[in-house]
Amino acid sequence: MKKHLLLFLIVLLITFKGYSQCCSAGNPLGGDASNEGLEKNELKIFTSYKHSLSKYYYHFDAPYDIPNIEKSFYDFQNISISYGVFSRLSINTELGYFFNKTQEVKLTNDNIIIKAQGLGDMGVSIRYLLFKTVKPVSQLVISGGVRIPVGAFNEEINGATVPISLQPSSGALKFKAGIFYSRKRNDRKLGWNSFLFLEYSNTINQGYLVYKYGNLMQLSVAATYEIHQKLNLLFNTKFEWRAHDIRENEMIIESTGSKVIFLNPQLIFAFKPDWSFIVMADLPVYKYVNGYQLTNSFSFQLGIRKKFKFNKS
Amino acid sequence: MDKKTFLLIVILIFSLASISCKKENNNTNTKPSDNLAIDSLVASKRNIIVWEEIYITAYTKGQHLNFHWSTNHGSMQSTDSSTVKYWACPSCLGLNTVECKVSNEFGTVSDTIMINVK
Repeated sequence: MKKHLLLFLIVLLITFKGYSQCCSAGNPLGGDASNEGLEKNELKIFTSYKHSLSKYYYHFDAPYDIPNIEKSFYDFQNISISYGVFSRLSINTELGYFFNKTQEVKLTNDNIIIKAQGLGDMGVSIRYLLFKTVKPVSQLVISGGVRIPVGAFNEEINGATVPISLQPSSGALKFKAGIFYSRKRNDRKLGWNSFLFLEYSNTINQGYLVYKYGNLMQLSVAATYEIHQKLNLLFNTKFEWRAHDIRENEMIIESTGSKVIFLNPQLIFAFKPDWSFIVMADLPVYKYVNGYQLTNSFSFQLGIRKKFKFNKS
Repeated sequence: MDKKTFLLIVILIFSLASISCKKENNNTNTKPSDNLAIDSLVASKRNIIVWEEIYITAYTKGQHLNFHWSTNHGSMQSTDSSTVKYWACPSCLGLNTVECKVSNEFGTVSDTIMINVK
């Protein structure tokens, strides 16, 4: 069973040719690879590297041949710090850096590479543990916070500003909220969790740029399986809905917004007490985009997580 | 000071420092003169379709000029300082503004041109 699960996961990661949201301004939704509440005086530090490659244009739910984009990709490093302030309340901050956010464009007479790098948005949120049980192991956590555009939003190449979608920061203040529930029986290796995430963006009003990102909703349901005492597999299915972006005079941008279903497998390896190594991928299995949009082939993330416990007892 | 208070202070300082580090736009424009002026911005076409490429050139007065081009929607590549290549992807439909700021030791001047993407 364990071998089959691992084999299935590896084959999926190697062969999948999926499609998902292309390069968009600001950080990818990162977090600390967990939405759980923390115990009082518990500190969790998570850092991860993410690579995403986009190659294909879609029109509605089918590929559409537009030869102008060769590829688009980014490499992103994220750090997230969470701390249990009270027994039920924890605070989380996260910040990321784009090593590059690149698009290769084929134009009539030449191939152009547009590239930006810099600090992304900063996330600050609180999580409140509504309830927790020991048998079965379960918890219900609500969270809320903001994503602050502290990073680079005026990147340029030879005096020409790069497009919004390639800027490391989104340029917009965003509000986010979530609710997380997990449950696992003590005598079972299989558990499940679910997560609902909502994000609302303020309008950017900067010079000639008036822009509002569409609202975002994500609903995830995951099965967790304990392969080994130190190795857990999380098989997450995620539905993502993005509304249209809006520009000046309340004009809806037709080629924005989408509905996507992702598979988001994760392997969590606890190689030492309080240390975990995490591998995850985003593999969209269905996507419907409004208008014509660049979609990506895959993204994967490698991360490491360390917990510190400062309890005096 | 206990560890909890210390951590909270670190997070708070981190947050405030990041917010205060935001770049400020320098929009101070100088009165055009023979030492520094944009006579005109000229586009090879003003009405284009998605992915169509055009050139926008700034005709200027002055010496030791630095050019800075920006747009609310679309992509640009600087071919030489005074000219950019402009094109737009499907999410850039509409009447888009391209701004050119030119600066030297006498100050900064700017001008805009509208490009309609259909």
